[in-house]
Amino acid sequence: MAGNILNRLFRLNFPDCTREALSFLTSYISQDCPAIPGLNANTEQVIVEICQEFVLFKSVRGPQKKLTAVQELHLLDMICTCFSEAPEKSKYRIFNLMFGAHGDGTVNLLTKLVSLALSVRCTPVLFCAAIWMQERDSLSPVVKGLTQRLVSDYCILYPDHSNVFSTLPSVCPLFACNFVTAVTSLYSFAGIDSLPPLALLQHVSDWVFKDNTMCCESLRQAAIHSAYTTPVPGLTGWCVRGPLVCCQLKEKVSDSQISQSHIESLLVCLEKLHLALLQSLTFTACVNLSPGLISASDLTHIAQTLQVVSRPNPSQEEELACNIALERLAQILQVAANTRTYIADRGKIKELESLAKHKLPQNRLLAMVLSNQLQGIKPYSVIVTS
Amino acid sequence: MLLKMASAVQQDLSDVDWLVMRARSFPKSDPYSTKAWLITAKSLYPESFVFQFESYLVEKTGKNVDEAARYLQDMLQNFPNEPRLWSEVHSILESLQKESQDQKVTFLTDLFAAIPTSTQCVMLLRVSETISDVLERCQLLLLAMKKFPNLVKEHGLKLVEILVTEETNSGIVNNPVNCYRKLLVCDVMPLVLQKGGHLEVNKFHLYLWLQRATEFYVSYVSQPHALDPNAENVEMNLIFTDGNKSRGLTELDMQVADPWGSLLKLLLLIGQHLKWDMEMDLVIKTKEHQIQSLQHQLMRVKLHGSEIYNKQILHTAMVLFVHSMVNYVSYVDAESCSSGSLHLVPIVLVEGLASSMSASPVNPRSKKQKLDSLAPSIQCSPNITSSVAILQCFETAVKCYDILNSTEDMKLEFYNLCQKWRKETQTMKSYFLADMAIYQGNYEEALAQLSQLPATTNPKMKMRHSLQLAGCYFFLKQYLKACELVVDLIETIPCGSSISSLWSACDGTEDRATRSLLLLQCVDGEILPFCLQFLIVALKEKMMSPHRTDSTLAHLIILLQFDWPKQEALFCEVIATIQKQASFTYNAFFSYVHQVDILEEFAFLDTPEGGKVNLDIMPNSTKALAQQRTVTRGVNKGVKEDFKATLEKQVGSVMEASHVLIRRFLKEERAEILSNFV
Repeated sequence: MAGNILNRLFRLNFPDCTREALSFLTSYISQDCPAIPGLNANTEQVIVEICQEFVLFKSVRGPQKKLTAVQELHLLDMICTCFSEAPEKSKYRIFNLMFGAHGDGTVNLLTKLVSLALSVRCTPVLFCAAIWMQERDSLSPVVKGLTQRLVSDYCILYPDHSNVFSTLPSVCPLFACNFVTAVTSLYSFAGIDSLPPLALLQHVSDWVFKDNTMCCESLRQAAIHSAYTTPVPGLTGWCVRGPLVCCQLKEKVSDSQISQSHIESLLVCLEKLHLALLQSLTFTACVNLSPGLISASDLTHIAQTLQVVSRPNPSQEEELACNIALERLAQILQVAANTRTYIADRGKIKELESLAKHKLPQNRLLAMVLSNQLQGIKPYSVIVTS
Repeated sequence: MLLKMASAVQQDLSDVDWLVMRARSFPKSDPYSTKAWLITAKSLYPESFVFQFESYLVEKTGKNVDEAARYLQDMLQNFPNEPRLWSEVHSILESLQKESQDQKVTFLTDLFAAIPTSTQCVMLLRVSETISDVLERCQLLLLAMKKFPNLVKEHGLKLVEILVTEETNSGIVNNPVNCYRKLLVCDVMPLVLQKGGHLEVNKFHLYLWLQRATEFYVSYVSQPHALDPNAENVEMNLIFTDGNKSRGLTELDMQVADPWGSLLKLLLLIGQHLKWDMEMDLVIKTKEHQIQSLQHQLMRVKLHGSEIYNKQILHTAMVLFVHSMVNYVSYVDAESCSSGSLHLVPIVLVEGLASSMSASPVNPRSKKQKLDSLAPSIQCSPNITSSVAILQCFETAVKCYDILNSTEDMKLEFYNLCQKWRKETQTMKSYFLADMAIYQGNYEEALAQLSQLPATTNPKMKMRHSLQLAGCYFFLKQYLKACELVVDLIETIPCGSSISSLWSACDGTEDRATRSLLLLQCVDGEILPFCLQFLIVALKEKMMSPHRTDSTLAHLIILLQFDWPKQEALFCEVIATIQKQASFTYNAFFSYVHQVDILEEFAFLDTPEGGKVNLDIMPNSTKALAQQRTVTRGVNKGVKEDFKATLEKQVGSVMEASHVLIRRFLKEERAEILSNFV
């Protein structure tokens, strides 16, 4: 009888066919994929086919069915509803069936789906997408593509304060976390050409400031999904390089599109973000979630990139900015070490020390922190405050 | 260049100092960087208090109540021996005691509220141990106990003891209205009695508490202008602060909202602890109800007659006595009494004039007997609006005073209880005792009390004083002294005052078996008629005696013109007397007698039907003329005609207003009038 399912669906028109297909898929997956009577082999095959034909509309048989824009919106809405109603344990399996390993031709639809899910605050879709990002690695091109689209939808097209974005961490913290990681690789803040949009920076600094656990959401999933990246190294890079890059940008204000006040706003956001990172480190340490948020190599790498960004014969302003950069690096280094966020690798610290001594301008705080680190690993003391 | 110089200075700083300097180097508008530096510094030096405290200050500046409270809590746990921390705690606790709407104060109050209760408690106790100023320490302990009533058991009695000792040591114990007593009586005692559960206190201590409370409240309400916020009161300031501004309470803090309510409440609370037989929930009843109930209870236990109730009787009677006494005196001495500021006209209690004949002190019955069997009645001027309340206060005070003097023991205890009263309170008591003596017909005692009253410049109070003195002298038959006072008193009343006739209560028509007293307002309109009546009664007294002269009768007739024909009956008595003696000489007659009815009566006296009285009332003595002209009959006839003509002329002339005439008479004939009583 279930063999007829395909036939029956083929007889239906959009949107009925899709609705039927989604409900069939949901109930099938929720029942732990029972053998479909009358279909001895290839049950999997049938399921995939249903998904391809009636959800993704990537026909393997006949001519490609093309949905109109309105129909496509209808389709996305039905998918969101489907995820909202599906049993908890089945959600990601359904998601995986749709957007899993089967080629990247579905990314376009996925991007639209996530964008819609953001605006309608559909947590299940966002959560699945976040897992998907984590499994694909938040720094991979596919994920970057998705991120790029979202940034342009929510931060560039409408740079005004977006309500959808500002509440994201409360709607789906894991998504916000992986999104931020992706964003830091999309905009490295390593030069004038890789500045994050101001609206985006405002949102990100706000999120981290208000929710000190947001940065460790991906880490918490690490037990289930072995792969993870955290936003902390990328954000630290922003905070450290940011002042110097902005300083260099100021000098070019005349021939760039960016105004002085825009740069000032970026700098204020970075100050807030930097504090938010320190607070996140100390806070997550209290609940023992900090280890792994950032590594010694990450910090060394950031120091190296700073060296790349800084120019020989710097102006006095640049010197000041570089000083701020080093102090921020030192602060993150100190607090991260003290909260056992990274494994204190003497070799790496040594490397960093020699970098600081020979390749970077002198900085009292950094020197103080490094010597403190090298004096031996201090006993772990719980930072009660902040 | 500047940068280099700055960094050169910074080189000299220690790491910790440098970190503090850097953290502070950011403008207030950039709390992010400051906090980032402090987090780092705390991470580098977790054992250093200075960064914790800086972090706290940053949150305090940023008005972040919860964060600041968290830092404070942490510091109290981890750095319990830092003086800076405790001075901060001290300032927080200080702000708790202010009732200011100031932003800083509100923030600190909120901050305190955000701290867990157990820590609050530690803060209060620790700080209160360190304060050297006793008053301040007590205030803080009090605050702690108010916030955490379970502390009362442990610290309540201790606090009472501290305050009592300090009051004694400070040497201001002679003035019960001092800061220690205020705290003790108004705040600590009620708290300890209410929240202290079973108190490990000797019951004699509780009596002492009550005594201190009574002393405080009675002195408080009797201090001059205590409730007038505009009144400058240097004396009070000196007392409260003991010459040292930092010690003591502000004038505002010294104010008590409802002194009597508080005292009654304290009496009830102590009564409960002493297991007195009282209405259970009296504390929550209205004040009127409380007073009534206490009165009933007092009478009930008094009737019981058992010695075990003596203390209850003593203290209940004492509280009721001071309450009703002060209340009553506030009407008497309206100006200098704080609680009486609403009714500014003093009242005066005087012996009713009508009863003078039968109830004069020569009456052989003893006063006490008289009071018990036939309590005198008091007639109030209809102009006194709260007369019922006044009389109630007076009666209660008299009753309680009697109870307090009913046995020798009681008398002694009462005497002791009054010892520490301030001067003003003693004066109040004298006012009351004078009135009570007058009420009881005990004029010598009344004179003694009146002589103890301080001299006053207030004309109304002077008036009151003279009137009561005159009354006493009158009933002690010292008529000259009495009338001299009254005549002088009338002199002081300006002529223009509107005069109403004395109301019927003193017309002398009522039952004479009981004594009757008058409660007048010290206003000219009420006092002048009374004074005239007073002189009339005095003259009448004289007329009845064998020592009367024609002047006595004449003066009486002149005075009776006032409010004519109200006292026509008395006039008839005078006429009857004249007829009986068949002659009457008074040459100033036509200067002062204008009343037609009276003139007619004299015309009649001259006729055979009128008894052919030998009248010599012409300005030039008829007798003298007669002596000159005894030769012929016709001369006498001429005199007769002169008399008739003068009478007719007098009737025809325009009449002076009677009170103007009488005042002229009193002025011109002062010596003559007083000579009646020599």
